Amino acid sequence: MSSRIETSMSRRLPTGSTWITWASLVGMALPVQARPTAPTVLCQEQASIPECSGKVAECSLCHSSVDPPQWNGFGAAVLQSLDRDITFEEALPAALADLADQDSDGDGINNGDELAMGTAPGDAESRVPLRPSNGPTEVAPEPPAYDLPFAFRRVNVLYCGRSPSYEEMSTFIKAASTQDASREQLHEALDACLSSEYWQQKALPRLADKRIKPQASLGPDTDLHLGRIRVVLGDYNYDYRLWRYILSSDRDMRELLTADYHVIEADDGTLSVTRELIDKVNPDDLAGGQPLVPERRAGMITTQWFLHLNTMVTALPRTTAAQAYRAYLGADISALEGLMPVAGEPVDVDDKGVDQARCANCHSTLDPLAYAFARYEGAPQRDRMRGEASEAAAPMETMPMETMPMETMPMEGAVNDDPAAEDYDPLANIGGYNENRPFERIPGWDDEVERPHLMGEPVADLIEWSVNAANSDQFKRNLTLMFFQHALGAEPNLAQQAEFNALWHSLPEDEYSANRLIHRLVDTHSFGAPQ
Amino acid sequence: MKSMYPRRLLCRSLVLSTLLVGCSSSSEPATKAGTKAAQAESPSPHKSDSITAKPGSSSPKAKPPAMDAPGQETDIAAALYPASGLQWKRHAAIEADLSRALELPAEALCQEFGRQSCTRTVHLVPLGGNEPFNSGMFEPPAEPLATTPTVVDRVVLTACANRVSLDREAGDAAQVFSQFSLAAEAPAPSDPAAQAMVTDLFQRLLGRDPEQDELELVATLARDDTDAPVAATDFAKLACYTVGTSAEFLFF
Repeated sequence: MSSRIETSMSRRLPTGSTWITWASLVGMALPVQARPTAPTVLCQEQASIPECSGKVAECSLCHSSVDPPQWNGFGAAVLQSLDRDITFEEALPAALADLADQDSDGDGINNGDELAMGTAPGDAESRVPLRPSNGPTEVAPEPPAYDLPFAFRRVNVLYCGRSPSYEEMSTFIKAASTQDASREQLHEALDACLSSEYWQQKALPRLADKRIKPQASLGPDTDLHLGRIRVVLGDYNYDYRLWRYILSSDRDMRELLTADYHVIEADDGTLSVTRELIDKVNPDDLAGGQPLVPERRAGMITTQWFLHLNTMVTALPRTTAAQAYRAYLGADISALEGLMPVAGEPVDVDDKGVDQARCANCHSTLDPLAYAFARYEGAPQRDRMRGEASEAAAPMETMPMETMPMETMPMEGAVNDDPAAEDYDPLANIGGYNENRPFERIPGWDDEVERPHLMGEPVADLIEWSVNAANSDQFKRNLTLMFFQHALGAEPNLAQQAEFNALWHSLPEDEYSANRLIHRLVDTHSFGAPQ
Repeated sequence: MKSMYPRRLLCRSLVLSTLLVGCSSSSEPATKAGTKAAQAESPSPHKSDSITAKPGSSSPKAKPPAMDAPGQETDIAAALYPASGLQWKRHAAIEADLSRALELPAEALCQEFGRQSCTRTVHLVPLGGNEPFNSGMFEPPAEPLATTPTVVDRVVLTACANRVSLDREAGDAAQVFSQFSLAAEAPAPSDPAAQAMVTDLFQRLLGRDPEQDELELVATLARDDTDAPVAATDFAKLACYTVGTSAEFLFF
């Protein structure tokens, strides 16, 4: 549903598989312009359907391919039903309404019911498992009951990293005289587990791995040298500590995107907060501290490691924005998720060709996200290196050249003679803030044109970007999904969808506490009623 | 002692039953819980869903019905009760549970070539873990891998063997397998010492007492296929391995 055909075709299109075949044959030749506004329109019209619950509908709802655009049976029916006399965005709601009672994929369930249940109306294989009816006298099966001993064992394995002992299990079963008393014991056990070393130092960090993407070879303990410079891109231990700190002790999970502090750890494991700038440990390290001023910090997405690793030498930090969007809002733009295009985008500010039709589908969302990161430094630029910083890197004695990203490395002779450079040391500001960075890196940058947006709405800067992101349904859903998947091993299925939605909707009431969310999760049938 | 691993008990082992043929429920009653079907249907942590599910018994819980043909009359609501499938117990919990049950430090459970931990390093990924810092693996496997059954076998059997070996050396000071002498033949299956050992293993590994039929079945490991007594150490290892690779131990 992410593309719109602009064509002068006057005849009505064929339907179903005939249409798909026809479209497949001629699709490449059609004058097609990517306008991925359909998911947003759908979700504005039908905000309560699972496909729009804390997320934006995916293109695959209607499309079998977006480049070149091809449609499944449902998408083809939508296309056929559009009123050509008005805009696509205006016509889509009526087309969806017209198709609600039809069954585009022929699986026996109409499109409206499929959207309501969360199955794909264009995919006959996507449907609720149904039970043959044996007639009106049949007694419906009993729903599975919550099983407290089962839940007790599960709580212990998941959050304490071990099964309950024979004595613990016996005590749990025998001691509680009522269901309520057992529930109380269950939650007491959970509290103990959530405070355990296992949960806080072993299990929680593993949930952050794909968000932080640590690399020991470029981290704080690396042995990799370029001349006398040790190639430390950053210290990702700050990222892990911040993650652990915020997701424990009833702290507000939104601080993952809004924290203006870093977290340090005492020898006894106690975590505490500092808002100071942090120098790198070793002057000969490429990086390793936290040079970003507190007022420009946005939690996990502005640590030195995050900015350096993802931005590297790119002028417009698209990868950084995409990773922030993926890691914390649950939308992988490369998988056509979370597309919320901004009108007039992409303008292709850095002349990378992203305004081509095949790129614009995603970049109309991605580039406005990335503008917010444009003033945050990644790797230093060779042509902006001051003389002494550059000389510090020479000579290159032990550098395994083929293994290094040379653009990130200070090099002998790469001295910037610009007097203005004397006032700015990019080597000391990796992961820092530089108000002039977009002007220096992108000729033609215009703050009035390159306005950052998040989820289709303009924001002033990354701070507003991160606050809006942290308050979004996407953030709530994504963090809840992370804990749900950890506990149950999979995304919520259709039967679990209502409980899952209730969980992430409860976050404001629980002040965005991860611990309280897990307590609620443990109380669900999805958790405690074995099939 | 002809057969170190009587087929009827191998079939009861979750791991090996996935690899073996001839573990059908109809050919031999004792194999009924060892099939893949039993794995799928019986792994509840409670007595009622123990590793000795009865032939033809059904789960007391309603299950989502099978898919029907398009257009057939259906009851959608009945298929939408929220419930949970079982989770795969991963490396940390397997290590912790074996360590506590067998009173072995984690590093003594299983080491490859005596140098690298099976659970933390060598077989981390098949056991459901991930190592991001040096391997660039940022997520654990979503499901057990093809090698997971073999690795689980390896870890549990090694841990059991290590404990038996230590206890045999310790003699009267044995910590886990202390119910009879490990230097002799195994006691008879009906011997209270054999049954005490089996009961202790259930308590240590599964956190519950065995059902009577479970007790009797595992105790039969004291005899080989010709009904001759096996070595006490083999009985101890096999009983430990059998309970430690049950679906009930490996899923939660």
